[in-house]
Amino acid sequence: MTVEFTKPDMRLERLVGGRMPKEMPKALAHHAETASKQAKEDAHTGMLEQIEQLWQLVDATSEETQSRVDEIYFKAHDLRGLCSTVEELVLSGIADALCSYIEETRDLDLTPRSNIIWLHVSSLMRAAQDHDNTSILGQYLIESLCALRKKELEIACPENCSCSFSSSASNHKVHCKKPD
Amino acid sequence: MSAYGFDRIHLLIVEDNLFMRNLYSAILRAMEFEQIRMAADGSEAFELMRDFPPDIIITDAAMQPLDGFDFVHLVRTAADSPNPLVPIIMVTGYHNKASVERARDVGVNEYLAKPVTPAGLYSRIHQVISKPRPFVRTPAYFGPNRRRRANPNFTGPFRRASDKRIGPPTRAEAANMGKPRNTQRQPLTELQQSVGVLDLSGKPHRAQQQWTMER
Repeated sequence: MTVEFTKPDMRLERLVGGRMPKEMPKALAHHAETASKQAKEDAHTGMLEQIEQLWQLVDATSEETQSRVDEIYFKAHDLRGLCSTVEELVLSGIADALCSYIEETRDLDLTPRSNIIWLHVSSLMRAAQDHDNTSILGQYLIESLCALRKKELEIACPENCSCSFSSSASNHKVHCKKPD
Repeated sequence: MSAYGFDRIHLLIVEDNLFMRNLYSAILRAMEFEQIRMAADGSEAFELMRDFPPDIIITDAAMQPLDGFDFVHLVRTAADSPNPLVPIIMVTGYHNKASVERARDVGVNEYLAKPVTPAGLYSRIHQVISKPRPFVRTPAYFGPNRRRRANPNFTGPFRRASDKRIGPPTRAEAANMGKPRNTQRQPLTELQQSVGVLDLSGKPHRAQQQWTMER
């Protein structure tokens, strides 16, 4: 087997004059933080619009087709990153819980249930409307959704096991052990 | 002119979310990057690379129709890729190990999990500018060297025959050579920068002295 190495290109370092400090200079950091703060305010408005769109999508029908689940997952994944970036950690946590539910049911070759998706998005919508949502209450909500996911998947699991559902369907079947 | 010369660097941002694109743009312009272009998905970015040769690409992972992983794979391996060696930073909401490994295996240089912060972006950009890794071509992979550091104390197990050649000798090898291990140690990075091609067949390779990639 031939392994071919290409020497690292230092052209970019030469372009910046070989003077890029490892830590961001304070003045630059201050400018970037200020700009980021302003952009986050706009992003916050956009995030609320996206949550509303997701709610419309989920609330419109109770039947989950594969393409609709894909669309819900894609929007929820987008919100997971956007909410954490605008520092809405409760919303990010709920979006993450929804993404995890869809990912894990797919790993088990199951179809996500529409009422559980609805519950996640309804929670997301409610938390977004409540400007005073506290992290303690939000954390409780996220933990409850995660517990619901675990219960749902434990019931649905063909091996009736207590595995973590973190592996793929094929691995799951190999590693899954029935409880004693 | 920018104090740090960032105005000379061409950045390509690949992100489907308008608000995230605006956020990247605001942060990077505040960091004095001036040459910034945006694309909404991988296929648009791949086309844009012909008109705007980027020095660094910052890409999201989840996009439609062409996602970030497939886009990186295309940039690294497509016959008509404008620049297979371009540094790529992936910024994504995926936090799981499988996604990080997938990103590594398609040839991403740096990975940044959201939330996006100025400090996080700066550190990844610093890494690709000041500490670029050599590129590796094997039958199954092309991209930045996936081994970030050489461990001089590593004595095996070796997964490839090449590991024995480029790593330090094992204790048994050192004993057979009759030399202490310490005198034989050579960091992996040093060797990679001094040797272009490692041909494990034992025959001299025709491109032994060339640094340019074979296309």
